Amino acid sequence: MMLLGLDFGWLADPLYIRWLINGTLMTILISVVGMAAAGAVGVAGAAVIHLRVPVLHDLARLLVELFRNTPPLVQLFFLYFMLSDMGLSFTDAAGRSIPLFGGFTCVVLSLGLYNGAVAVEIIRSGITAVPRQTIEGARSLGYSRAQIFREIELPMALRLTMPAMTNNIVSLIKTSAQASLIAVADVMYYASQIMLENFRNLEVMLVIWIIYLLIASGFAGAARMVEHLLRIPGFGSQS
Amino acid sequence: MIRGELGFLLRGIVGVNVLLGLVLLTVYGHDLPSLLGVLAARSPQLLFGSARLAEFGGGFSANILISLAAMALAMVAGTLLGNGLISPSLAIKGPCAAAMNVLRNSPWLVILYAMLYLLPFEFRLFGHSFNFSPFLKAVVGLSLPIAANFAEIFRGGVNSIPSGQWESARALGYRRVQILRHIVIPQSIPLMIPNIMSLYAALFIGTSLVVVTGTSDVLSVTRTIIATEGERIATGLYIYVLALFFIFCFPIAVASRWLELRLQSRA
Amino acid sequence: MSDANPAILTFTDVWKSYGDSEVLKGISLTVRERAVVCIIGPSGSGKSTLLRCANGLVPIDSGTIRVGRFEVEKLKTERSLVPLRHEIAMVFQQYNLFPHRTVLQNIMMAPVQVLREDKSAVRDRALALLAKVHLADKAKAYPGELSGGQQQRVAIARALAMQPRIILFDEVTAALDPEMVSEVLTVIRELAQDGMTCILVTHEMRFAEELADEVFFTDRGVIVEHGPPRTLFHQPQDPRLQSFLKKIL
Repeated sequence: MMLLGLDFGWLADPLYIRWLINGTLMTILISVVGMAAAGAVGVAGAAVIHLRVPVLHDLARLLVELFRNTPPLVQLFFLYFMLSDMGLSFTDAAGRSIPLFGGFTCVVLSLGLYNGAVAVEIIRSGITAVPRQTIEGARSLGYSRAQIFREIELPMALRLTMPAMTNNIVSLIKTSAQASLIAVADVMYYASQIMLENFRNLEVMLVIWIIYLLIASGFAGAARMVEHLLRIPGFGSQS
Repeated sequence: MIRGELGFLLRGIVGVNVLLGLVLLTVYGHDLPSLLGVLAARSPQLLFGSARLAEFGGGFSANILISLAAMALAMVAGTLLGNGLISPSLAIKGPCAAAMNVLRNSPWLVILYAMLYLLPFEFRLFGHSFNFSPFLKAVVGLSLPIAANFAEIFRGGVNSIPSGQWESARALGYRRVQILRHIVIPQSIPLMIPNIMSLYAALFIGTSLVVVTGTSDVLSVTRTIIATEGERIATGLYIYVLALFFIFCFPIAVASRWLELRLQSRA
Repeated sequence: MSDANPAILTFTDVWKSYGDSEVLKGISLTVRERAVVCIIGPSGSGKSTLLRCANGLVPIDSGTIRVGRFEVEKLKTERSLVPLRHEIAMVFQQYNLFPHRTVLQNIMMAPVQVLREDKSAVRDRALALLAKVHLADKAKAYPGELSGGQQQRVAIARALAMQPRIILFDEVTAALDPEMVSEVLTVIRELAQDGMTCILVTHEMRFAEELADEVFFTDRGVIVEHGPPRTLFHQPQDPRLQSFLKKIL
């Protein structure tokens, strides 16, 4: 099948289709687990910093700045080599030694750290947007600092910052592509395998491009629906 | 106020480097001195691309050069795209918005690979034949998503000018292009600068990806060194690279946040 | 002011809707040259829209508008509207000065950049206008450094710099602190006494009574009643006007 002078005939091969589907599923899996990790890191980091937990507060601020201002790819390589250096592994039932931190874990960890650090800052900016009168009202009702954070500041911050968080989610999906560089079998990795076989580099890349656009649009659309469902009437920008 | 930000900057740089040092200590233990020796010996190569200082332009300096070239290209393309985004004509605004959305939702790695395969090995310009080196392909590849983000910043800047300015300018007889040129854009440039700075920082972080194009940047040099010296020093090398990127990007991030606060308090 | 002055602005059966809501429903009015006309009415009655139709900021759905020799409803492009805006100028409630230029530059900009007049001639005119609004010493200041009343007077000078025959004032004192209202009204009074045709949308009833030759009362897109201020304020006929006046006076 030719289109614009490019050969897309290889798409008919069932093996390649299976590869692409497996790869896409892996990319989605990495993204979902990565989002969970980033979300956990984001909330934990925002809590530690906002509540000024001694020692952890300064450590968290340093870590957030470190992971926000360095390339996620370098973080990934660093984690990969450091964790295999530390040689952590466990023996399974057959007596084989399995590295505890395989490629998948490293990718998800690096996404959790990088996008998690971004999430910390997003949530913190959302917390400052919560009106002071609301907090004063809660305090006069007897809420403790931790309770105010959990029941009022965090839920409101999450709703207020949904647009920025959606951007972070899309950024996470885009960053997950680098998993292929440490041989994790995501869609990017399978793409390079296909290219090694049929040398149709440009056509394969275009298909991958479209797949990523679909994944990103899918998640962004879902995020917008959630944003619409959870929005606070009369608050923030109405659009 | 600058005192506080400066203190934060210094504490950040010192603190992070101490942290990284502690990690190095944990991983390498008593091997630490020899590791540091290797790092010091390999520094010229990592920073400049070659042990001979005369050959400038590789390693970390390649990352810097690529980021500057890509930023310049992106600002030009982004301004054009941004003007298209604010155009009242749907025929112009539609395709521009579509292009911008595609570029903002695409992994930079995919765009880089696509440029690698899409752009020819050489091209002719004014009768001369130029080599499309990996460096140039990396510059073009990175400039595309940055141009899309720049167009969005441009659009946000123009839209943040109150509509009363447009109204009174029109009542005075100004036409649309004149309003943009004399009234709206001059007011929006100061507001856009913090965002442009963060964009540059993000671009610089993105230059870490150019290793896939074959450009000899700091990560590519790192790989070469690991191949020579063995995987044992890989962790140390990557911590070193982390520190390099951090020392470059963190001040930019702090400066842009400080600028943004200053602009907000003045408004 | 005699009724023999020619009509300088005429609305004939003007209709304007925004989507489903009708804002102007058959407005017809005539303003004579050198007259001072005030438009009063509750908010949402279409007063501001009426003004914006007169200088072409808002296109109308049907009817005709004549300003001087211009048929405003026929001017479709921004370029064709430029000569009209030379003729009829507007001052806004939020002053809308350009914050990144000095006071003098604000006044000089449009005649130089839009009308392409000679810069030194415009400068002399601008300085004279600044003196006229009693702000001669603020030429080099920026709008952000001035009070609301001062900014509004600069806005009036900026409108005058275009040498219009009519000036539209859209609730120009509504955003000002009370002590600054009178300095702006003084400037408008002097303009009217010099013979400028002024159309004001305003809440300042005493000012309207003192200065206006004719007052129009609008409600929900129609002109309910109009006449000289003495009759309109003291012998209102329509019950809507009566209840409106009772609420504000």
